[in-house]
Amino acid sequence: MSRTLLLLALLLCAGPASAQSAKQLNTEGFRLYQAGKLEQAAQKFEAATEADPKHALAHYNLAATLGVLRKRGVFCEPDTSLNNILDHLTTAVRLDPRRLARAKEDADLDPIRNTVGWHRLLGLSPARTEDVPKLLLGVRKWYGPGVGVYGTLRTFTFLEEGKRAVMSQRQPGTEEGQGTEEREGTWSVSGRKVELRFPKGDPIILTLDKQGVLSQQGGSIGTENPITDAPSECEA
Amino acid sequence: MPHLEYRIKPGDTLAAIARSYNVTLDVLARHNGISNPNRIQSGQLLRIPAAAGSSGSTSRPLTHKVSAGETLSSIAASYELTVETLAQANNLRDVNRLFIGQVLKLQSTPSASTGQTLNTRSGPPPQQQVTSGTLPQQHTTPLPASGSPPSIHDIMEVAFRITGAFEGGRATSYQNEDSGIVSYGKHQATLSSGTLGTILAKYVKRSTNPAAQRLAGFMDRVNRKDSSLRKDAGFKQALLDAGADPVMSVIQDEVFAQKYWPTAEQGTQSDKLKSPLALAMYYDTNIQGGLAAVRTATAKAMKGKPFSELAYLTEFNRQRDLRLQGLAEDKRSAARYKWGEEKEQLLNDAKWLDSSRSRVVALQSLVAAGDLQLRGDAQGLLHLNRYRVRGLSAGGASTTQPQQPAPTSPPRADAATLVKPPVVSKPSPNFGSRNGTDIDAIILHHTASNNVEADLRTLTKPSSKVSAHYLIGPDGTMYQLVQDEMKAWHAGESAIRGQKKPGVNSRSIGIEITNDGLGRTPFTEAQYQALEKLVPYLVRAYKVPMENLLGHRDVAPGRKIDPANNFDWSRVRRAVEASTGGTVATGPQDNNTGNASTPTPRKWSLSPSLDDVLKKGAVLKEGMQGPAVSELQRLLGLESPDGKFGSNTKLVVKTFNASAGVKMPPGLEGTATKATFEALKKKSPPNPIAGDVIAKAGVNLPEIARNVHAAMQGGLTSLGTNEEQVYTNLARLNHDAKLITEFKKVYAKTYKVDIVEELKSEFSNTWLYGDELNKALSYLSPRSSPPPKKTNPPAPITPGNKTPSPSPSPGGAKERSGKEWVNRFLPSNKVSDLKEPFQSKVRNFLTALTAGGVKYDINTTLRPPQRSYLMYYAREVASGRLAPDKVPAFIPQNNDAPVNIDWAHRDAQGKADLTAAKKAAVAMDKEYNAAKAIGKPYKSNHNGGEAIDMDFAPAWGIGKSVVDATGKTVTIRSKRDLLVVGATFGVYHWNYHGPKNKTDDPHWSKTGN
Repeated sequence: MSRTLLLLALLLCAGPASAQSAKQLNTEGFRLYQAGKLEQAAQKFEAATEADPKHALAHYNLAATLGVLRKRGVFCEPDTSLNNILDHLTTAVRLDPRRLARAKEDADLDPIRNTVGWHRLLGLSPARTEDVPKLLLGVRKWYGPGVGVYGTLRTFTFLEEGKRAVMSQRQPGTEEGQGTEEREGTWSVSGRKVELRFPKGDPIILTLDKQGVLSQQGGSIGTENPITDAPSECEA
Repeated sequence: MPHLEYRIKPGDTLAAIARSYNVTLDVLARHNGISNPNRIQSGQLLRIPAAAGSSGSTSRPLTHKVSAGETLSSIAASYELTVETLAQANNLRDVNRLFIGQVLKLQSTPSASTGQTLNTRSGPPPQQQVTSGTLPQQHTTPLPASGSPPSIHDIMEVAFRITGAFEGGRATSYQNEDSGIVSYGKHQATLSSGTLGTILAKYVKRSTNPAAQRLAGFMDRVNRKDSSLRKDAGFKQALLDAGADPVMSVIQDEVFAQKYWPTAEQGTQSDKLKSPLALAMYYDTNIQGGLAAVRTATAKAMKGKPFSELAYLTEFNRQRDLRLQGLAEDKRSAARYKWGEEKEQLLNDAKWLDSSRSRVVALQSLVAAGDLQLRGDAQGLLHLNRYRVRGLSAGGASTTQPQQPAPTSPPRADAATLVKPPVVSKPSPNFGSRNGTDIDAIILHHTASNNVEADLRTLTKPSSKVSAHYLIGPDGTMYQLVQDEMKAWHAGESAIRGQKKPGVNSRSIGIEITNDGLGRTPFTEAQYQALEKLVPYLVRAYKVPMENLLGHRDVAPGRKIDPANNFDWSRVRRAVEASTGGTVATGPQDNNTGNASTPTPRKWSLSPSLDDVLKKGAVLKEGMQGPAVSELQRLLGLESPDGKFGSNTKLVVKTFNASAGVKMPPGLEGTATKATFEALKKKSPPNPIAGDVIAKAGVNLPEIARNVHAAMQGGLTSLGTNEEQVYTNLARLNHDAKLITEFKKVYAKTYKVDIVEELKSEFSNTWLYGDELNKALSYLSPRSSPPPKKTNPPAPITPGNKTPSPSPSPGGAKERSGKEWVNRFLPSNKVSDLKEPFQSKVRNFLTALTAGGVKYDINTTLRPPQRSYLMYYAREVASGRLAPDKVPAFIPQNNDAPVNIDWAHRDAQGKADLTAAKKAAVAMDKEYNAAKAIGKPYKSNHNGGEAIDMDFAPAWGIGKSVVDATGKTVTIRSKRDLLVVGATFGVYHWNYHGPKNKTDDPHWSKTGN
């Protein structure tokens, strides 16, 4: 299904004459994508976006290919980070708004559905206070910063029904899934502030800034903050 | 007050100029009324104040470093010295033999010239080594007892021999296989570039050889660059005969020396290269084309790294080879879409490009052998692939030529002492390829735990998706997890001084230090000792500049905090400095204000972080070193940010604070605070042309400049010049004289080069380019002087290209209608027959079409009203709508000639032959072969020269991209798209305003009618 969409997109493509090589690279990338050689395809698409940074389709194809790779558990090489995929997708849509309709249906892009960037493309904005609850839910799971070599240690999950919130926390020096502590509570929003209440202990106050980043009141950088829509990856 | 003058050249900084004249930056700035030292312009004339008095020193430096092209007398003149004094002071035996890079003493004793008035000079500031005391021995070039250094002329000769060996080498070499049309002689001058023409013109004038006389007969065609000469046997024979004439050989060298040598020599000078090999390489590249592109690519690749001349030349060859490879690929892929002769030509060009890569191989072999002086083997011969040519030593220079010290490479221990400290191997599966990115940074981390076993487990476990090259345990053990050549996953989404590309993981070595990072657990002495071995080793092995020795927190501010605050950076830095002599940082040392012959080692304190400056009110001041200082320097636009806040940085900060109105307490004017950074960020990015956009006709000159420049530099993946992009963008200037002048200014201002010169160097010479250069230049010639033939609309295929015949039909008596009328009152298909201003509009439209790759075929431009009359009524009669005897007579206007036609075929008695008349009209109509709609006389825009009929290939230009009159690139997807583009130029298609029928599909006019 997504392949058909890509093919269609390819046929509709007509870049500027000055970008002959970008077009060719994009075509080569698409052939590789079809052949299932996704890493090589991503390389070609990336080269195409570098040859012609205004080549909307190449950006789109790169985003989609990285999306499939991410689905298959490929990280860091190539850069399948959510931000990277979104950067290319957003660029593609900015250059050619028609890409958005396709992106909505393209299963390749499923990994980025729960991000601020995707909801931005859908029209929400963290700069608008009334969009704050929608973004919290749209992203659903939020990630604290990577700590040392141990990656993200803390996550917050916002659920709709009953305004349930789940906070999960593990200690540095432990491995993922090991010794993870989970707390369930509720959340409520007032303006840009989100209050999380748990059965025991003080409530946690988070604030969503206009860039779509959460920060915990009184939290320090590098351990609690920032809290974003993407987990720490490829950094130690 | 006596003063010197200095004209600013591209690439100069005020600080550098100030240094070289031994004045302080702010004195120089004040003296010239410059408020912002970062805003100086190339070409600006600076007044250099006479020596800043207190020290009593003179403005004249003690030494002068010889640049290519300088003579002893020119140097002497520029310092108001006599040749004899100079020769004597430097113990020169032969005043004609200077060595490039040789340092000449200018004064025998420093006090001799105190108070001397200096003359005005406009050359480069002298390369100053010292300002007082005696010259350090290592800077002089001791002259060998026998022989003397080669002159620039000697070097040129060897360079000619080298290039000559590649190009064919003999005055008679002849080749007619590539797009140069005919390439001839030692240097393979091509007809298409015009160089062959220059040579032949000189030869014909100077030689009495019979071959010269024969060649004189060809000069007309030579000057036209007539491609029929490619296959002219007489021309070939004349060339071959002339090649045997010694005069020809002399002229060939002469022309090439004039045409291609200066660019090469200037190139080496501005790239600060000094060896004869560098000159030979630049010359050879310039001869082949693409010197500017290769230089730019090399500079980009070497940026931020310390390098020796050898390393620079190696990179230069690599970039040149990449370019050739890329160009060959381009030609081959272009050939895929072509057929016949054009395809052959492209494939041939690709083949030539491929084979020309061997010259790069040969030159690189000289670099690899370290033969910067072109001395050659024991016999003095240079080995170039299968050729042997005489090197410099054979030219009389000594074989004990001193090797010049590499210009920018710091004194460094040799490779033998570069020993890697012992490591314990613990391979991690988490790594990738650097994809060709060079290592130029080292990033330190803490692991956030004190448990080295846990750290190791995480760093080597596939699911963690993290790794580093090294991990230093609390006991000082160095674990190697990922090989240096591979990319480890330690930096994540980060940026070095704002630069995200290349990715930090790709360009760096990551070192993890086991520590919980809470700021309480000390990093152990064993860890520091390990780092003191490992980091200096890595810095030297990969030539990492000091400013790129960073913490994770520096490349991911706001997100990462490692290594923790209690990490002692100074221990690591000191170890690096001790190992490298403290000169690893790129560029001139900031702390070296020119008052010492050797940089005084200075104690640098670690600067607060940028974050602390911006949020906690920390202050950056003299004597500090760190990433925040680098950032400050970068924002200030300092030439080479070294992260050290020295007196130079202080002056620039002071000047900036003052000019930007940043209020500082007395005594702290030369420090940087949050306010300084805020003012710097407000400052527009260093774009001297911001706000200079010419609104006229919506033409964005900076944008065109950017596009053209980018096209010539080649993108990241496309090497070489993107010709089409150059054409399309230059076409947007519409041949408008004013716009062209403005554009040239903007271009020169932005890129510090003359666009014409850059085009010439990019598209220049021999066999690869030629036509392209002319085409590109044609866009820079205003309309008043018609563009060269190449850019004129291609000759139409149909109908005959004849000018309209003003001849009336046979006078007096009327002539019967019939086919022969079609050949009278002929139309034109020349754009030049159109009336202004429509003619210009059409020209602009057609230029844009050509640039976009849309071909057109013009059927008609001007159609005489008489022809309209004949066409219109022939159709009326032929179609039966009008009886032949009812056709009205042509009523001439504006003194137009009458049309004496007998539509009714009357006999002497005046009786009409309607059958014959109709038959004749049908024949006429068929012959006119007009579209469905024919304008009545004096109704059609064609009659006034304000319409044009044409067809396009591909149909309506679909699939091509054309830049419209507003500068927008429009991809043509339908007929309508092309109509809209035409309308922006004021050329309206028949269908533009509404009519849907296709009755006059080829028709465009000033109104659409």
